[in-house]
Amino acid sequence: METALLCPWESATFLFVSSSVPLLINYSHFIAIFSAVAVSLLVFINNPKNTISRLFLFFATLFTVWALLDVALWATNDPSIVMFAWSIQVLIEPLTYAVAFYLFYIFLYQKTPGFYTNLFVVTILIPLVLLLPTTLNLEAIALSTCESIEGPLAKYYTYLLNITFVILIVITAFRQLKRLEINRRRSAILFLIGLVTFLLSFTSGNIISSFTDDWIISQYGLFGMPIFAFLIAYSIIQFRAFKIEMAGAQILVVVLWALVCSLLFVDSELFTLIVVITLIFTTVVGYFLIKGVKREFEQKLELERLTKDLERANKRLKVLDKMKSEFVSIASHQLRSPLTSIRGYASMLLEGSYGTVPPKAKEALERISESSKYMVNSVEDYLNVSRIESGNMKYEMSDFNLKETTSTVVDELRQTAMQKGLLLTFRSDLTSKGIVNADIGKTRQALHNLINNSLKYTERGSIVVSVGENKTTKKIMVTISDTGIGMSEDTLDSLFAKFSRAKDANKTNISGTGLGLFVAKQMIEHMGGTITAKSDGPGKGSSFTLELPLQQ
Amino acid sequence: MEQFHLDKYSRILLIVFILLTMLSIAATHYKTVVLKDFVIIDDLDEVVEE
Repeated sequence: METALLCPWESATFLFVSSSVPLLINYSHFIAIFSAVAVSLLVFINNPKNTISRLFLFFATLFTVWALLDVALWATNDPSIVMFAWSIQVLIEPLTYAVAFYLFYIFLYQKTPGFYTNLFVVTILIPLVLLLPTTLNLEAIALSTCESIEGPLAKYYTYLLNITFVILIVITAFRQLKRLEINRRRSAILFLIGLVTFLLSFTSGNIISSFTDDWIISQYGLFGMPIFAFLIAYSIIQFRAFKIEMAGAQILVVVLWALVCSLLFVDSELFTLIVVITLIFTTVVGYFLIKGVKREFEQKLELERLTKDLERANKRLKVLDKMKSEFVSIASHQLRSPLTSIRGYASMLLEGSYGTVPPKAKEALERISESSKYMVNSVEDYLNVSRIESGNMKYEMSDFNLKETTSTVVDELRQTAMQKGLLLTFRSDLTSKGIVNADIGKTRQALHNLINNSLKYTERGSIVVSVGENKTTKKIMVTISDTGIGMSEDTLDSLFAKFSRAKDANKTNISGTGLGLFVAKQMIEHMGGTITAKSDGPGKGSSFTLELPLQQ
Repeated sequence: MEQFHLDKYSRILLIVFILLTMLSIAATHYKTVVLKDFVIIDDLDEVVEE
């Protein structure tokens, strides 16, 4: 039996440990592995169900396997292990690039690529997979160096694939980046820079090594990984990339810890180089750590200042609220009381309580009475708005007959309708008693406002007030239909807003504050009902429907 | 969190690709580690078939 040929150095312990491995190899590989594993685990642990997190972990795993195989290649003296590990590396390298492309694509588009893109990726990878065990991949092994002689698949096709995937990533970025909102774009640019830096440094290191047979050069390509990991970490802190909330200090302390640990691998020969690299990293990481802490401190100060401002604003609001309540009280007593007196005395004068009034003076008194009545209503509207907005409107809920209440309101307003030459009629299609649970005073006022509104905007014709019920929704409805000026779509949209009046209200000399419908709607909605309006268009009349739940 | 789903044909493609990759790795292992079927160039540049 022939003894197996071995490379001319000692066997590796545990596949990876051997004195023939230069310390730079350990340093470059384990720093890169640590960076990849730390950042991908950080992302994965924060969002384990997210596709990007899973893909990122897969990407880091592929890279880690590649790097571990590389250490094994440096350590082992067994040609069969070298041939196997080298072959798997040739397969894993473009796969890592393909996964990087998918990772970036999903990060940018928030979806997976379409079937044809997937077909293209698989098609270009298939020759690599199928030809992997053949001599097109690895031709032979040189025993003196324990290095494989690469065939066209490993020497050209792999690198062609790598470059294709980098190009695909750049194309994806150019097509989508400008469409992203600013923070996502910045985060994506950092991701892109990190990824492309890593992929290009990795590939160029390997390409140079492939063609010069100096495999030390390829080790420097691995430093792209810590740069990539650092940019990802920065992107997480600065832009909440991958939707992770993380304090910058947490990540940066882990990086510093790793850098200090890495000094354990250093011997005197490479000490200066490694310390310089560590120093550069420490300086950069330290700068961002200080910047991060400073920013968090400034945010804390800003928050304290805002809290104080908010406290002051709150106190001021309370004072204003109190002043507003006082104003409402003053308005209700100081404005309403004299108006009531004016109306009362005008009425008594008209009735002749103070003797006969000359006809001209009578006409003036009638105007005083009308104007003061209008003013009382206006003051009442303003007070109601004030009470609604401050939440001080009191509702005294009780069961009452809505049909009877509506009929009473119609009777009260019939005189006004007749004065305008309008026909105001009441109709009931109710089969039940029509009992509702609401504030009777507020409901009367709402009905009054609705019918009064129809009276104002109807110059000729009729107003029909009908009461009906919807047995399905168990609601009672009061519908006020008029033959008035009607409304356009625009008017309908803003009808129930404060101070909203018909467009030509001023032209037709229609008085009103534009608060009646607003007050009616607010009050009815507070009591669990609704008010809606319909119109077929200008000049085609309007119809208002008030709905309240039927009391069972 | 969001999960992105592959369409039906892409999923088939992915499964086929994974199976082929596993077969290829197994074949490479069998050829290099088990059979040791590769060319060795020794120090003296003599080609030795193992």
